Amino acid sequence: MHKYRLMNSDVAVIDVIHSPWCFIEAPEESYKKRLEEKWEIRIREFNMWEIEDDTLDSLPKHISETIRDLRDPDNLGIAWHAGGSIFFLNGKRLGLSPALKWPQVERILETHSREELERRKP
Amino acid sequence: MVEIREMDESYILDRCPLGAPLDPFSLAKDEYPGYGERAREIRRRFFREVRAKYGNCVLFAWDEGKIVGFLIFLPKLVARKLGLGTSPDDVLIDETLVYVCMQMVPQYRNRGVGTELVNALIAWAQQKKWRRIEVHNVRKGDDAEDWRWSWGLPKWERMGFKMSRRYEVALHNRRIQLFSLVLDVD
Repeated sequence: MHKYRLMNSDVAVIDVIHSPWCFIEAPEESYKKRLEEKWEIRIREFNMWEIEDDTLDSLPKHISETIRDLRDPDNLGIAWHAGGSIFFLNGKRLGLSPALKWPQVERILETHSREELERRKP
Repeated sequence: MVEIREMDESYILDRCPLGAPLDPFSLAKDEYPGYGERAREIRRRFFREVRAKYGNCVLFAWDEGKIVGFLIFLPKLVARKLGLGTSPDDVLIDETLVYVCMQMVPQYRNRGVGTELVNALIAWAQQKKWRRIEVHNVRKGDDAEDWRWSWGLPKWERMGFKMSRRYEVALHNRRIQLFSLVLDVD
């Protein structure tokens, strides 16, 4: 199977922000390893409960910006979506339906793999 | 008969959603590897730490040895850290609780269990000297239109909560109106 990679990127990265009061989708280690191997991706997880404001600048920009937005009490729209887990693919937020997000992510990776194969055809 | 109890060490909330009565001492095995023991351990650690620091954050409705409903509330500082709705007014930030979520298994809805849970939250807040409870992301609704995870505006108002703000958010390509409410408990 062709592996999904972005141009100029060695390995695609899936980032996940968890807000642990709700339905978070923290994968079992074996499942996480299988996903990483199957799709040649790297999975990074960020638990909002463990991230203090003064450490945000040390995180990837899309993660720190999202967490800052979530913690901004004037940002009412984003607070509405503050449950569950938030997924990113190479820094771009994925629009996923509310639950069972890993299977959705796999479908996205599969689609992109096909598209990448097509793109590379002579 | 349904009994409302605070969460204790015998069962720290680790599951969501609550689709059927839950016997915490005889739990089903996981089928979805994206939400298994590791996810539950993260949730347990969070609820345990908040409970240890602030007294509690979950009320359970029990019936016949099973959990049939629960209500999650958090100190405002914690709610904000997790990105939940909080009012921008920080005057009582250290003394304010935020209602987060309430769930009931379907056969226990419309039986007054939610009212018992909210009354228990108010009593708990008074007993522990919290001064205010905030509720956010409330839909206008009516008694027949209660949203799955919470109540509509009329029920909160009947419990004594006062509307503090109205706002609109986008949901599935349309705008919906939401409300924040507040109850001073001191």
